[in-house]
Amino acid sequence: MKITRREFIKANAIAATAAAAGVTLPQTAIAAGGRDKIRWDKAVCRFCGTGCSVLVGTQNDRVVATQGDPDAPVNRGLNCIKGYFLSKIMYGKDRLTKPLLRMTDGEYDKEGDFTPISWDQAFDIMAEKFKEALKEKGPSAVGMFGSGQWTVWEGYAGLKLMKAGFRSNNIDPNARHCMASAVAGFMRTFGADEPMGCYDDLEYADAFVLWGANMSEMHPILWSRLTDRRLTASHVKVAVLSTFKNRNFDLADIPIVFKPQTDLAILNYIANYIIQSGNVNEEFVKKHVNFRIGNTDIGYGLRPEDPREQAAENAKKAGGSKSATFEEYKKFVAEYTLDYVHELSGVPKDRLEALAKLYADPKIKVTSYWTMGFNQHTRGTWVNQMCYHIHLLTGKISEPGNGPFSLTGQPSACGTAREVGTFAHRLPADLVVKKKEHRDFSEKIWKLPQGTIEPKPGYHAVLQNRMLKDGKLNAYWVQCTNNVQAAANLNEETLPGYRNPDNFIVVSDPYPTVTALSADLILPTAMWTEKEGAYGNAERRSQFWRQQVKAPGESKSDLWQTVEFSKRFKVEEVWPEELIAQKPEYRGKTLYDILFANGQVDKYPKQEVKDSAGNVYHNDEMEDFGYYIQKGLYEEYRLFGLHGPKKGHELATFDQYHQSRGLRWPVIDGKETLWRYREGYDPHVEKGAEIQFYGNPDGKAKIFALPYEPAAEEPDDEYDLWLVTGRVLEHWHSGSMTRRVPELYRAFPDAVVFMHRKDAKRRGLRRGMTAKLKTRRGEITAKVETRGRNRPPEGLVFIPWFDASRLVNKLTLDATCPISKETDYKKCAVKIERG
Amino acid sequence: MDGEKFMNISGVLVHTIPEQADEVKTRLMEIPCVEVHAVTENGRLIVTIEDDDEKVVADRALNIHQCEGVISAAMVYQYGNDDEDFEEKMSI
Repeated sequence: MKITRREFIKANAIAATAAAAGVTLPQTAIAAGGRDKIRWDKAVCRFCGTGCSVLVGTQNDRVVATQGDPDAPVNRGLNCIKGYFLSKIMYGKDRLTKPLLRMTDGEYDKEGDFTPISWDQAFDIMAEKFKEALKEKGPSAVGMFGSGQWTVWEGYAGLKLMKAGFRSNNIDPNARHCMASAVAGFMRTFGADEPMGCYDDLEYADAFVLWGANMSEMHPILWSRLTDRRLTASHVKVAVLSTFKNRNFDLADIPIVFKPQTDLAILNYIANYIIQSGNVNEEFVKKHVNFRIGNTDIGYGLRPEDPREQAAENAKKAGGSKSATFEEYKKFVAEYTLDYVHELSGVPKDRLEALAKLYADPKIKVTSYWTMGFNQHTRGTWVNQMCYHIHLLTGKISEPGNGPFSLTGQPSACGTAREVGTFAHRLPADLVVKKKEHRDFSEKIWKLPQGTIEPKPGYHAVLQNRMLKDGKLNAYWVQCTNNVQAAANLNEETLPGYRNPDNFIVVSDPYPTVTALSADLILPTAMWTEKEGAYGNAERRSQFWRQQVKAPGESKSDLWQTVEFSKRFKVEEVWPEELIAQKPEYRGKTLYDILFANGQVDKYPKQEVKDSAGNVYHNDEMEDFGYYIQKGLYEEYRLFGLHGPKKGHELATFDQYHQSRGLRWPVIDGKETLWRYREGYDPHVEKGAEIQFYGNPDGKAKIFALPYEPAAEEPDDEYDLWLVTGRVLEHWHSGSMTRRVPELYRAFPDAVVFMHRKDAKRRGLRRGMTAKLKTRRGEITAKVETRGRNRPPEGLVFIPWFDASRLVNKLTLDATCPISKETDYKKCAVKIERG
Repeated sequence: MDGEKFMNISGVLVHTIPEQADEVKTRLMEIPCVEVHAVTENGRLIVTIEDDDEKVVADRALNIHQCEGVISAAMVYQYGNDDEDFEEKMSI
C-alpha cells in the first residue's frame, strides 16, 4: 500500500489520539515511522503542579518539539495547550545572556543603567553587599526568595546556603503565595504535609467536588481524566463551587456560585448536616480523630499597626487552640443551619442539600479538589481544615476514590518548596527550625556545629517585602520567580522595598521580567531542560530529567549560581568563633568547602550521562564542579527522609528516578505508596491499626471547631465590587514564559476584566470598552469582557494577573491568612469607571 | 501550496456530553482546518488540526476549547516540519 507522507503522519495523529481515548480505529493502525532525526527523551512539564511527563525532541542542540509522554501514568500521552508549546519557552527573543548591573561611570549605582559585567564582577559586588549586611546587622539582614519552580537540588542548595551557611532563616518560596494554607491545614490536621491520596482517585470516585479550583483551565489534563470518569460512569456526579461561573460549570451536576468567603459557612453546614442526619462514621471518629476548639478573631496578617489587626483579639495567637469533645464540636457547627447558610452564601437550599448529601451518603465515594480558591484566603488554613473535617467525620479518606486532595499550581511546589522545606520556618522532610530535635538532626546530616541553625523562623514572603521597605532586610536574592508582579500591594510594599536605597537586590532569571528590571543586579539563568532537574508534583510523585541542551550565552543554572557564590565566603566572615571552635577543622574554609565539598555532596565522581539508547547528554554543573553534584545533593537530601524524626518521607535513589516515570513517596523497598495512612496501602501503618495518621504522635487526626469570619476588605458604597484575580488557560502565572510563546501570546494578549453585563451597563461600559479599576491602593485599566469563559455574578469582577503591562497587584491588598501567611488574592474591594 | 512547505498536524482528544456529541461534531467541523475522525459512545471525539501555518494550530486548538459543548480538549500528537516532501509516496 502506498500513501503520501502527509497521509502517513495524519494517520499517526489519529491513531495516537484514538489510543489516548482508549479506542482502536482499525483503519489507522499504523506504527509510528522512525524517520525523524530528532532525539527524544522524557522531561517534566515546566508549568503547573500536575506533573505531566513530556517527550522532548532535540535537534542540533535545540529543543524543536514536545509531545505528551504515552508512557506517563499522569497524562497518558496528553498535553494541554501550554504543554503543547513547551518547546518554545526557552527561545524568547529577549533571553538574558550576561550578568547586568546597574552602573554609572563604571561603578555600581542603584539609580544607574543595566550594564553587562562578567560573572566574576557580579559575584564581587554581590559578596561585598552580603558581607556588609551580615557584618552590620547579622543574618537577619540577608534573605532569599525562591520558588516552587526550583528543581529539587536548587531548592536544597539554596536552603543549605541560607540556613546552614549564612545562618539566616529568611528564605521563603513563592509557594507561600500558593500552597502555604494547604501546608498549614495538613500540618494542623495530620501533622504531616501533602495529600494522602493520588490521581488514581480520578478513576475510583463516585463524586467530585471542586472547591475553588478551575480545573478545566488550570489543570486541563486532570480535568480530562475527571471528565472521562464522569462520562463513562453514569452514576458519577460533579459539584462545582466558585464565586463566579467558569468552564467547569459545563460539566456540573451541582453548580454552586457562592458569595466570597462563605465557603467557610458552607463547609460547617455540611459538617452539621452529616451530624444531624446521623451519618457520622462513629467508629472511625472514635478511633482516629481528636477534637479541638481553635482561636477565633485572628486578624488578617496585615501590618501590626493596621486597625484591623489592632481590633483582632487573637491576632498574635492565631494558631492557638484547646482540646474539646465531639459534643462541643457538634454544638459549635449546629448554628450553621440550612437557612442561615443559604442566606449568608446566596446558594439555593436544594443545592446546598444536594452537596451535603454527596458527603453524607456512606455509599458515595467523594474526592474533593481545591486550589487557590481555598489557599489564597484570609482563612485559608481554616478552610483547608474544614474540608478535612467532612472527610474525617464520614471516614471518607485515604482509600481509592475517597479523599481530600489539594491540587498545586507549580511544578515543584511539593517536591521542592514543601518537601525540601524552603520556607522560613522549615527544614527538609517536614522538620521545622523551632524544634531542637529537628535542628540537631539537620546539623548532624549537614556536619555542622551544634547551634548553627537559628531556632526562630525567618521572614516569610509577605514579611520579606515589608522588611525590605522598612530597611531591615538589605541583601536579597530572588531566584526563579517574578515576585514584583506576583506579590500583592505592589505600590505600597513591593516596589518601595526593591528600590529602597539601603537594599541590594539580585534577581536570577532567564528573562527581563518586572522583577528583574526592579533589581540592582540581574543574573542570566539556565532554565528547564538546559540543566538536569527534578520536580515533585501534587500526588507526591518525584520525576527527573536530563539536561537536553546548552543554555544561551553565559547563562548558568540557579544551582551553579548558589554553589559558586558560596565560594566567596570564608567561614570566619559568617560564623561566630564559638561555632567554629566546635569544628576547628573548618577554620579558614569557605562555605563551599563546608556545605558542598563535604564528602557527601561531592561523593559521586564525574560520569557520562547516558540514556538506555546510548545517547549522551550534557551536565554543565558536573563539568564545572568536577563531580556529579545533582546526585550528591539528592542523596544527602534523601537522608532526611530515611533517618529523620518524621516518618513516611522515604525517597527512592537518584538513579531509580532517572529510570522511572516518577514514583510516589514514601518509596519503600522500591515500591511507591498510593494511599497514605491506611493499612494495606501504606507500609508505615501497623498491622491491625486500619488507619494511622502517623504524622501526629498519637496517630490521630484533629478536627477543629472553626467559624465563618468576614473577609479583610469587603465591598462598600465607594468600592462596591469584589475583585478576584487568577489565571486563564493560555497563560501560566505571570506570563514570563507563555507570553513569549507567540501562539499563546496571540491567543490571549492582554488581561481583560470579566464582569456582569448589568454591572458594566450601570457604569456606562460595554464589552470591549476600556474600564478603570481602582482600589484604595492603586489603579489600572483593562478592556471589559461580559461574555466568554468566565461569567461573574453581579457585584464581582475577575481579572487575570499574567499581563505585565497591567499589573493587577497594584490593586490587591496584602492581607494574609494569619496562620499560613498566604495572601488572599481573591477578595478585595474595587470600583470601576469608564477609562 | 506554493513556495516553502510547512506541514503541521495535531491530534486532539475532545470530551463532550454524549447526548451533545453530534452537535459538537458539527460545530467542530465548521472550524477551518479541523477534522473529526471518530466519535465514541462516551462522548469522546478524535480530532485533528491540519495546517500549513504553525500559528494557526494554536488558534484552532483554542477555538476547539471555546466551542460550545466542549468540556475538555487535550493535545495528543503534534508534528511540525518544513524540510520534507509531504506529497512523496511511501510504502507502509
